[in-house]
Amino acid sequence: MLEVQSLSVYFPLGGGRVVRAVDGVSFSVGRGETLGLVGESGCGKSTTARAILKLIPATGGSVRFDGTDLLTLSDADLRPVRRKIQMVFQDPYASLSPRRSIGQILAEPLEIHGVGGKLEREARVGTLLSQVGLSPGVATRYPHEFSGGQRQRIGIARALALDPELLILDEPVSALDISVRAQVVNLLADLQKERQIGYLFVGHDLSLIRHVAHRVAVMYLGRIVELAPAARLYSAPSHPYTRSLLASAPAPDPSRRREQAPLEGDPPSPINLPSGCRFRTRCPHAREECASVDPPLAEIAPGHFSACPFWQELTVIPQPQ
Amino acid sequence: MSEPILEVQDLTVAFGGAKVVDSVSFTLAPGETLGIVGESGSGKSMTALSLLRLVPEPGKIVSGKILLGGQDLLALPEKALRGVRGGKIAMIFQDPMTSLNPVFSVGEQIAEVVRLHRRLGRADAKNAAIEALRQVKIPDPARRARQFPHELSGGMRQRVMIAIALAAEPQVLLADEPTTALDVTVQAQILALIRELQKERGMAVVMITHDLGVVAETCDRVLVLYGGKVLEQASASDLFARPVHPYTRGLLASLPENAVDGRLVAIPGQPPLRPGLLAGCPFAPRCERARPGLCDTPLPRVAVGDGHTAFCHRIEAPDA
Repeated sequence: MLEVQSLSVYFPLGGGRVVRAVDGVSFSVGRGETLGLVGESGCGKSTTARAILKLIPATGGSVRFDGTDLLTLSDADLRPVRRKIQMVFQDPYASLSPRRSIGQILAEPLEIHGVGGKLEREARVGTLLSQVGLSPGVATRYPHEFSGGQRQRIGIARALALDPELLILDEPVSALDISVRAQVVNLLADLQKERQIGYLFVGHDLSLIRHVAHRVAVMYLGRIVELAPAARLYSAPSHPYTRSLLASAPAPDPSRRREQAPLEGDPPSPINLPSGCRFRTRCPHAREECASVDPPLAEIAPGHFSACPFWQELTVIPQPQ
Repeated sequence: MSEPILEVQDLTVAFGGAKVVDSVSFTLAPGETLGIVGESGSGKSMTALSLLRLVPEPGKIVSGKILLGGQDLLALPEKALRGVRGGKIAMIFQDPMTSLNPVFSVGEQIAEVVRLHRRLGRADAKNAAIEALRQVKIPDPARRARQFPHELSGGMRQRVMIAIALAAEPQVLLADEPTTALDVTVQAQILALIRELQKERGMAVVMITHDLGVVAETCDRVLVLYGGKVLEQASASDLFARPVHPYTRGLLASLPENAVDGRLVAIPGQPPLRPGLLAGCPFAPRCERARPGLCDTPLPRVAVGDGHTAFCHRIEAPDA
């Protein structure tokens, strides 16, 4: 359904310097499928999500939705396609206008796309609220009257207003309390099952991504370094960065404490990228060749892609289960 | 167990009629790490701030005792607190960018603490600052000391915060969500660093967090806070292996690791928007075991095991 090919987003800094925030990223999302996009801050995962919706202009590549490249469409031609792809943002406080009632917030996408008359839109708002587990009666209230979890439900209701086929979820539960997070994750799972919506789920919480995603793409400094079915990525990670990431997340189990951090150093600046493999400056397995060859993603098993050409020779780091 | 370095008895902090911290008690031994875990509105950060008597207006510490080495901090005159704040008790915060001063080099900011608390001259303080950066494993510390906060990465800034906190050689370190703003690989580095420095110095740590992974990774004992009240207190190993309070159990059950048939086990409802107003159990409105008429009365303290206590009407003490 969604086919992203060699997507790049560069930001000019002046003086001929550029930040290559997203640098040749390719993936797809199928109907009813969740693709998890994980990585640390600055890896380009949110920029990728926004570039798909043209919220940030792409520098190169293509974003095909049902075969049509969104990046080359005119604004007028984009509009009918654009309603099929909606976004849910991380911060439920910042993404809802404080001066509009819940009813107005939910009716806005319907008005913009000219869906129904006033009465039909009101009825639709009520339906949307029930679908996300809120009472239709709250339509007259304002965002400040709701908790973070409820606001995120409202954000999801707004995204559902136009019956989208794809939702881009940018850290949709990261700002929520743990006891509320599970409710919203379950709601998203139910909606997907009912409507076969595809999800691009951007996140940094590896155990949550493992739970929600069918396939997972791991990003580092603007590139996807590994992409695999979720079960396989977590049981047989091939790329040294994926392995370090998995080993770094603290497990909710005091018997599995580690003495040392699995990975040293900070990610390098995306302005001065290392030559060759971008992870080599922190990679415990880096060797001379890694500085000269920029390794492409290669299929190492059916549906499992890795950007480390030496993955077979690496000593295995024990993985938490 | 050795004499506690810090003992908090029945600490209550109120904003008007809302007790946002309600009768919280705990002890902390030298070298120990106590976790205070809770969600928004649990009172965890307010508990930490009250240990330094930094509760923001119009909040007030209305009762309780905070004994540091036997001395009640709540009875001290304001002036005497200077030696405590940043001296005997130091604190690090979630966001190093907002707690560092953008117009001074990081070296100057560390030297300031050293001069205040260790009474060193300027030149000695400058050297002490470089040494402090070396101890938090910042490479090339002499050069880094001359840099400003915006020139450093998030992980590097949190290391600087730790260097500032430790410069006065505190007995207690309050860490309020110290890794929440950091990436997982950097979080692991910072937690390892805190652990190592704690071992070297025998310093006690209060780790305030919402992250159960961080609790499991770092804490010896844990206090579970909800709506301003302690609901359960146990060793970290007991808490994860044998949680008894319905809230603690619900929290652990809701983790993705504990999903049942591909579905997360959610706690219904949400944390109280205005905590501290209920006389009884703050979790009762969300608790499937709650009984009206019972759970709205003051919580009993139930000893469920060695050093393991729950505050709940619906739990019974095991037979002795």
